Amino acid sequence: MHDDQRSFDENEWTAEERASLAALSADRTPPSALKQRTVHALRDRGQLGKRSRFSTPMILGLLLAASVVFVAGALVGYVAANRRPPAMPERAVAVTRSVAQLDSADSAAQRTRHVVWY
Amino acid sequence: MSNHFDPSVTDDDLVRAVRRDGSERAFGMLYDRHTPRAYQTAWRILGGSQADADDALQETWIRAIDSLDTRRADAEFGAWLRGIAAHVAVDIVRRHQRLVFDGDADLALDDAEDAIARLDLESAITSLPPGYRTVLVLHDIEGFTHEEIAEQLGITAGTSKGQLFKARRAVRARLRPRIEETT
Repeated sequence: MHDDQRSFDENEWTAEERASLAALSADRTPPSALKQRTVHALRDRGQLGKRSRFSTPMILGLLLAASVVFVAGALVGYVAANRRPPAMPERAVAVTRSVAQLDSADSAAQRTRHVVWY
Repeated sequence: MSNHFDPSVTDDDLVRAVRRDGSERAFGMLYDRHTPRAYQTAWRILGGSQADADDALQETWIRAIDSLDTRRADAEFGAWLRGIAAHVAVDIVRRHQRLVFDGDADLALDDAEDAIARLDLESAITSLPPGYRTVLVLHDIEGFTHEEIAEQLGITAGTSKGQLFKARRAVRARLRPRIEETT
């Protein structure tokens, strides 16, 4: 075990070797065509280039929401159209009739006035 | 949003422009800034194969742009990209079924030693068997810890240390004739 450890320690780079490693070039220039190839690949995947403000899931979500609103509106309209008006109390009916009669008499008088005016 | 960027614009601003607008100009600047180092990392792990390094670099950028949203805000972009490049390069080596960590590849090296007697350090590294080379590049050049290497390669930290030990010995064996010649 101890020998193994010493063996590992001796395997460490010397200062000179470390300097050689550090002096290795950090950069390598790729072929110039690789940039265009990479841009094309990214463009094909929709990761670069003109991009819609709305992503596909967002558009689908908006369409779904619009459909739900439309169906709900249609249902409400259907229900409202088929709803029977509530029965009026007798007293209210009597008042409505008398008002209607007064209106009718009034409009007859107006018609008379109309004739006189002409 | 303007498509023109000042040369002093930060990586984070460029990343934001790519994420938000898919800006090719911003991508081009990121590419020019960080590709040479990432390419070197992949090239070394792939033993100096330019075709593989080209594929690795393209895949690196695709994965990087794909995962911009998950990048830690405090992660330096270049180091983050090199990590992806190393990962992609290891995947390619593994796909070619050249990544073997069992056994002792020194025997094969000894047989080949005469043929490759005069090597500089870069050539000595790229001529290593893939298992040795990958660990040596990741640890001694890219600065990964044995634990990080173990996680990336699916091996134990002990195996990583063992591979590094043998890799260094193999590099010295390759450089020895040259050292003796110069002394």
